[in-house]
Amino acid sequence: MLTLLFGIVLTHFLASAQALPSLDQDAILRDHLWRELRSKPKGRRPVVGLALSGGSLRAVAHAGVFSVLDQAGFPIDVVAGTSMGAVMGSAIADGMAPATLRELASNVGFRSASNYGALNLFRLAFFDSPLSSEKTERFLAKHLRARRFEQLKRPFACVAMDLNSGEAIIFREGPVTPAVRASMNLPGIFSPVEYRHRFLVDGGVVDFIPIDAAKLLGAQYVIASITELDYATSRPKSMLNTLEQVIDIRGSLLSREQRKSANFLIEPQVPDIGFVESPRLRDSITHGAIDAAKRLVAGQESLILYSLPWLAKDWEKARP
Amino acid sequence: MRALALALCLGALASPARAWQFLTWRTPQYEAAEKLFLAERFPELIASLTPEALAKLRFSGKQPAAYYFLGVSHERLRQFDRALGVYQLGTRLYPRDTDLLTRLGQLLHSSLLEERAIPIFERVLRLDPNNTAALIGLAEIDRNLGLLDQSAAYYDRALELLPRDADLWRDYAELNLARRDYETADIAIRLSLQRRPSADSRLVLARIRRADGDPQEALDILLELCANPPPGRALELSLLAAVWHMEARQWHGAVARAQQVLRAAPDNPLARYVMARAHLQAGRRAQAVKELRVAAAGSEPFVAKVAAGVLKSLAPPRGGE
Repeated sequence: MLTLLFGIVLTHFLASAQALPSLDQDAILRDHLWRELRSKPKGRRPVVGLALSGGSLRAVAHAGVFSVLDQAGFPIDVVAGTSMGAVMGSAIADGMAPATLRELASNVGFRSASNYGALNLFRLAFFDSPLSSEKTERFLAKHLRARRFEQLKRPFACVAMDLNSGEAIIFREGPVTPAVRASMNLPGIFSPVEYRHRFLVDGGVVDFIPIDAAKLLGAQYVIASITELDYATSRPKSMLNTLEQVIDIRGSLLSREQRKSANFLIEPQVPDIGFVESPRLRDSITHGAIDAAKRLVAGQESLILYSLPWLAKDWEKARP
Repeated sequence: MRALALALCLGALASPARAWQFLTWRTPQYEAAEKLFLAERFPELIASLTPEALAKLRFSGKQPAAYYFLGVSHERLRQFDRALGVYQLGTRLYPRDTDLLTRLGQLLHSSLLEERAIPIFERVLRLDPNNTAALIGLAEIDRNLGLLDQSAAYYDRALELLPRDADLWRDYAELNLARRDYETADIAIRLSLQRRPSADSRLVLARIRRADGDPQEALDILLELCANPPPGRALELSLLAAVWHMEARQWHGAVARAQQVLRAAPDNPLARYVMARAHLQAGRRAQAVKELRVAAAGSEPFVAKVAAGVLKSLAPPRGGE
């Protein structure tokens, strides 16, 4: 009897669970204009940039965000990233498919980026000898097809900080892997990267959300994916996490003004992840996708409204 | 063993009615609740399944089903927070009850709490790999999250178990439409239509044709639907037809459909917008501005914003047409 009852309720559920796309007036117009916008080549619509914040391992959530944006057909023309956002961004700019990107994101971690190990941690703690992030370059070289910025499928920029001047250094040409490595080179833990006569550390210190970098690449409309932590409730469990939180707080405070210049924000509510908690990376990616999916319609509407002057120009041109 | 028999005898002497109920597994509270559930008398069911009544079912084996009835009743009365509480309590007491778990997952999923729904559905599948509700729940969640290949894998498994389900075939067609696999989408929607023809499935077929670059066939299907619309959907189908005509640059058709809507609803914002676009196309900017002003004052927020945006981007009319 109970099975029959469940059957009745299940059938009801199946009939109603996956509602058909809404046919209200807003939905009809949104679908129509979204289709029109997507069909426009660059130049006849705004250049759309994706800015990916730092945030250590939390920032793998960008892979989930990108999956949702890509599936919905957001025309991402340029990409900018800081720190882990630079790793994700370089893969997106390289044309990596969302499924592959998610796989890559679930395999990044402290071990894939450094010579992390018991002996080196001992040396770091007792002999003030920082770890090396050289392994990051090998990891990236293994996964990216392009070797130089110019070979990437989408224009890409990443940000690091000059340890001597405190300047934000925006890379957008030359070899990709050392630039991305510099962008995620956590100060205090990793030795500074010596590159082009500068000593470089993690860009998250000075430019947590690289919106200016995206604009430098020509973006007129910037979608920012920000993986900030709720610092009020976070309880760092280790020296590394404490240091990372200090850097992130400083970076995000400096970015307060900058985030206002983004056209659309997606802020995945990703819980804190320790440096060696790689099994939780998949949860972060899912969080990114969930929060992006929740903001999807708002994002489409925002981009359509921003693009109206471009679209309307074409409608006027169509006059006989 | 002797002690147990003695305890049972003493229990029977103290309360013979209850002992009889226990021995014969009769559960009048449950049977009453079941009748109320089948009769869809949900407020009475909720009133009857008090905590005391539920407690009495504890050793009968019927308590999980009672929690299920109670949860579904709350849902049907749109008391979702109470339903959630019932399912959460039920699944804590019966962590292996797939019906309660499935219901909890579905409620979380329909409340867009996907991060909490996913582990529930996954737990159901560990207990019962062929649970179609969990498979469909995960397929829908993955689809919403852009994980289209994973979603397709769940739909494939669900369709093996429910091959006659027309709605499921339609959902699968929609997924393949999103994956831009139009061939599979087309096959799936035709299978859905074979199993049960419906206006919704015809509309999905039209959307597949439109996405696959055949706007005329899409319009033909839509116009068939407009000629014989399901109850209460004539207006929205006409509006959709007006917009699709506009997309196909069939301005005459677009205007005719928009005017048809305006005869029934004179200030319909989307119909006004279509009229404005037709005027713009014909170079009648002043008339377009007039239509856009009506659309911008309308009650549809996005249509109003678009109309206001187009108004702003148009240069002010110079007097002539």
